[in-house]
Amino acid sequence: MKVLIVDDSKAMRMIVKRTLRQAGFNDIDVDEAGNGKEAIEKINADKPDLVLCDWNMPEMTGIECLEELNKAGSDVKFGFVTSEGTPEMRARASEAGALFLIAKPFTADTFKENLAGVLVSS
Amino acid sequence: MMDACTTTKVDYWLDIAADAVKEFSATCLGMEETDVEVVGKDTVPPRGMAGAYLALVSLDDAVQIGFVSDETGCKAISGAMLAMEEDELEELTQSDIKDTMGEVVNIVAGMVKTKMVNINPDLNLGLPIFLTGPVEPLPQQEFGTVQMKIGSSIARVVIIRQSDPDAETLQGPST
Repeated sequence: MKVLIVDDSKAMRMIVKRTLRQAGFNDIDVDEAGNGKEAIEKINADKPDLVLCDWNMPEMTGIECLEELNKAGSDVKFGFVTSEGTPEMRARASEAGALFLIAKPFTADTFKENLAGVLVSS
Repeated sequence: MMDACTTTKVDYWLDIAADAVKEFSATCLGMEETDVEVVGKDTVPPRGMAGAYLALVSLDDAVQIGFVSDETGCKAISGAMLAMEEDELEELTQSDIKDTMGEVVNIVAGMVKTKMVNINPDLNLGLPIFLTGPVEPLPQQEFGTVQMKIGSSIARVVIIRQSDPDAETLQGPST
């Protein structure tokens, strides 16, 4: 399975990759993007099975990215991994079609719980 | 809920931010509860420290949250966040440290936003910036820092808040 990690922080992309492994999701190919615009290019080119996306990013935010994907009719599975975990943000994410919103700081267990229906763990 | 006539003091923001740093340290830095503590508060801009700042803004309030440490502390905290061993810390580049400290303040500010949701649900997060050198408030701004021991490092959480001299100031909600 292909997973695209979208975050403007290289450190956070590394931490998300590490947490996926810790959560037991080892049989996955991981790619990275630094903002929503780059993510859309990679989604169109590589068709990942899941996008794990930050919310607040320069150039194009995560919610703008999801809205663009919706307009284009994309059915890519999409979830947020973000520091913004308020009820309002969760509602906004859900309304836009995100499967989940994982709030930072997160643990491997949080990833397991949220991704269980989307990725297969080994 | 906040209205145009209410404000929260810098002290309240500092307490909320310190709690967020404790939770962050436990989850992201692998620290035990006893490894992280508040060791002091003051209103003096920290010297000899660098770190990341991020804005939390709404119509009623405008705050910069900073998370700063000395060179050794920035390296140690960044290394802990990246799960590096002590002998690997020298591999960290300045770019790695800036990026990681930026993410630290991003996470802490996000937690502060969530903790403040019943007081001010309209806060918006900015993007982090990394600054080296002292950050000083303008005359119309309130300023405070809380000094925290995080493992063997000393870090400071900085709050710079836009004052509203016409607003009634509250202590913040009782808990």
